[in-house]
Amino acid sequence: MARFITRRIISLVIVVFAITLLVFMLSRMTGDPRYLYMSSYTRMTHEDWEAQGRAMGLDKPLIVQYLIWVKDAAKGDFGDSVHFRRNSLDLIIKFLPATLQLSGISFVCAILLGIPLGVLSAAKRTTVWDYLGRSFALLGQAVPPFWIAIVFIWIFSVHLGWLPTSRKGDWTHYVMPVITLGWLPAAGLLRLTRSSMLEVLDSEYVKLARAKGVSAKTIIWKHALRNSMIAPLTYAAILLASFLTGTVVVETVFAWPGLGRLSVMAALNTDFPLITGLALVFAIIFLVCSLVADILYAILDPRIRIQ
Amino acid sequence: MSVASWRYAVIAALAIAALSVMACTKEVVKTVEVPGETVVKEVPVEVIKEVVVTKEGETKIVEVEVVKEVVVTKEGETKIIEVEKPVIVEKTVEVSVPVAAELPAASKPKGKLTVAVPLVPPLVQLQSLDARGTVGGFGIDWNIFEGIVRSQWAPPPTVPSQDTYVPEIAASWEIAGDQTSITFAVREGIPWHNTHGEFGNVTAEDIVWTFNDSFKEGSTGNPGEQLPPGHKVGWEVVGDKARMNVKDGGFDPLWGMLHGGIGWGATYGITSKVAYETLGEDKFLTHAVGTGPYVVESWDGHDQMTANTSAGHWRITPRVETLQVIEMPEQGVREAAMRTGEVEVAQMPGKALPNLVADTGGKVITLGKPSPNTIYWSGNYWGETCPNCANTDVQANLEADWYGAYEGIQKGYPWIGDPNDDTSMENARLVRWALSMAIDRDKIVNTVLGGFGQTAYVATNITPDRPEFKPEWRVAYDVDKAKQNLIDAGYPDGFDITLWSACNLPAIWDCEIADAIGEMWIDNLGLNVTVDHADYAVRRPESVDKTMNTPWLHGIGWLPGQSLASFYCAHPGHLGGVTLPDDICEVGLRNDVESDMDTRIANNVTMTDYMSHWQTQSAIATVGNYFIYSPKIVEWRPYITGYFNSPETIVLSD
Repeated sequence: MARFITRRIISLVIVVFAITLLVFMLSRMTGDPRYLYMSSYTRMTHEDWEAQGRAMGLDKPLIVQYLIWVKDAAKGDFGDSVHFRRNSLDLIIKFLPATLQLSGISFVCAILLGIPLGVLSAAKRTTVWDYLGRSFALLGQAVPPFWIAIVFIWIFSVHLGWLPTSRKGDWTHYVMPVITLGWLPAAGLLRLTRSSMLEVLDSEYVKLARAKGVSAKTIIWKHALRNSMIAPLTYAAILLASFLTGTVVVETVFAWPGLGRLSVMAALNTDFPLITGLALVFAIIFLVCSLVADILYAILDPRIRIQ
Repeated sequence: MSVASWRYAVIAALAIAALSVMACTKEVVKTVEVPGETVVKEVPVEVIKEVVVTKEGETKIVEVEVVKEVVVTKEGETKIIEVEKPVIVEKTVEVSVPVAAELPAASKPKGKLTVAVPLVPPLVQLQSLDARGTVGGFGIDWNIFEGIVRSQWAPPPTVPSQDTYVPEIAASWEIAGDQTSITFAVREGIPWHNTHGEFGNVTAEDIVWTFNDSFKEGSTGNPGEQLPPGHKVGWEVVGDKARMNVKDGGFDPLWGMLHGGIGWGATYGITSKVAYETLGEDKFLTHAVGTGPYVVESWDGHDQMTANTSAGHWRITPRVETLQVIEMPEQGVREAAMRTGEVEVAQMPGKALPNLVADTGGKVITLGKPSPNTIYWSGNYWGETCPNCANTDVQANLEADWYGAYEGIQKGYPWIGDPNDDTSMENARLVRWALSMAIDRDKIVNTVLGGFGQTAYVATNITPDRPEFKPEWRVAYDVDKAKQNLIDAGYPDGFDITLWSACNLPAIWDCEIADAIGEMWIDNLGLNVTVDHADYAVRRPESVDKTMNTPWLHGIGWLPGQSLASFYCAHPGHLGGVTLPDDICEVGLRNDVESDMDTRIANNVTMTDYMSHWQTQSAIATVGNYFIYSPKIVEWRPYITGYFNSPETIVLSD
């Protein structure tokens, strides 16, 4: 198990380097960042230009700039955001809690909704419960989140007046963003749980248990569910990462001051220190979650470790 | 269900449908006479409601009579022609503002005002780094910072007179007889906001430091770039006064607009040198220390700004205690928040306003410089010299046969003329005229802008209602002539063209106008059009290093008499993709040092004549920033300046 985890961690570090290098290079492809801050009136001589380049660290080869960035990032210095004029890491820390709260609640809701509905759908196969569950999943996976968000706002805020339209606030502010963010993953979990459950419910040992007169409740919750949870649980770990890194649409529509919104502003302003810092944070979140998923999988299914 | 039952159900359903149609249709039958060998049938007249917005900015809900003429030809073919005829004006919504004749005496501040805007920029409280004008633009608009003077107030859409300035931080000023300096006496006893420490009162040193920092070497701030060259000589403290030195012969009569406080084109908020030194640059950048009637409680870029009243402010006591400006990027969410009453003011595109006004009882106001959305025919770099470019890349390019180096000429883009080839220049001119004539400006104003805008023809913001406007500048919507122009220019089969318009600029309508233009070029001229919505930051480098040859849509709200040469002539830094020839630029450059306003305007008219003839830029529509405000606001005295402004004058109903 230790070797398995070590291997995964080494590959994680390599991937983090690759991702940040890629993003660092790509963020410079839109041109020299000095151009963004030249005006139609500012008279900039070659000396001014060079001085500004030196101040921004642009006078060195790109790969050297990247290595300097890596060295600073290792010390927690992602460089100053050229748009905010503040340290990028400070900004990320400032915007992170809003995303964590929204993602965390959405994640819990998706788990609490997706798995039980998946079990219900499988246990009551071809009944109205199954159809309802599958319809919920179909809608969640078919309808784009931005559309859901706008329709929700129109119905629950404008027409019914039950919920605020947007922004972070008390619990009422969380309802629509959480549903918008959580519906799609809940739908995925439902389908995954349902198909796993159906597979297990159709297995020989479940048939044997039924033949021996074990109650349906015991079969579902004790025998079938535990064995069908391997795929949904590992999927859930990746899901958590996607929640944390994939809130761009929801945060933009609901004016939610989180990392998703920050990412959009960083991209729109070609704010390369912030873009690269965010990429690093997102990469680490995603890779750590996938590492957890791998470990969970290995724990739940020893065959994985052996392979 | 039996077959008979199904039959009855279908008949019943049809009957209900028919009744529904009848219920929605006015019961009038009209006979339509159609000459010729046709059979005329009696047809119902349908009445529908339609929202129409006039050029004057009035929103009218009009009932439209739709007459359906059913014409049966002798060959037995049936043709249905619908004719619309406006008959009743039901309701008019004026673009206006509730202004008290005289502001009532100050009372105790109360309540909270929430304003929804697409963008709350992060505060960068240092002139030399303030690229987005957060101090002198947003900061002054929101009453956090103040300027040395302010424009005399005038209700929007009136532009405050540019030569009648009202003292603000400066108590008075004196212009030297030879116009080489202005000396400002500083009003005594104006304290700096003390949220982040005690910084004393405003001094002449603060003013001098603020201005000098804005145009120091390497400055990338917005305020410095707005100053005319003659006013960047340097400021100094003289006794307890602040003196602005002016280059001999470089006095700009618009100095108040450029240096002043709230009002048309506000750019400079005065900041505290003591606070800068005490807090250090890092902290100073993000911790607001102003002098305005609102004190910042929190300013979180791309989220919100909250400010509370400054007790006993020297100038005015706001009536609303707390001001919150919140960023809501999505238009639909701002609209929803306005409908639910979560916000009292929201910035909206024109086309969303008529229904919102009708449903909420709100009113609409134009805030911000109306700017002519203009296609800059990028790639036409015709300047041969650049007076301000010594030691710059531009100068180096000029010396190396600059214009010839441009990809646009080499690739033979139809809208780009080679200034060394008369035929090329004339053909490109015909092409630009063709593309301009194929744009139905009225339709864009009435549909994309919902009627909130005015057709425009010249980039220099001389609108058709101004006395300087010349009839020959008008570009008629004439598809046939446009097609002929293309044939004459050697492009009978059209060509490929890309039009760029960024969607992330404050001008939130630009994108859709570009889409509409693209469709018109496809439909009217059969061109192969790509509308590029790349972010502004993506293409800005091209506009700075003068390699842009993609036409782009953008608008600048020039003032009458403002110096234009800096943007339309060879110049270091950001340009619109076009440089005019030296002889016409020489006329424009005179305005950098011209004191007489009439002469300045005349110079701009001369430039506009040239730009119109050669159609180097094609303006489409002049648009402002439209805000809707709730009926809860019973008084408000905003200026026609960039964004939501003058919250200190707002009174909410009880």
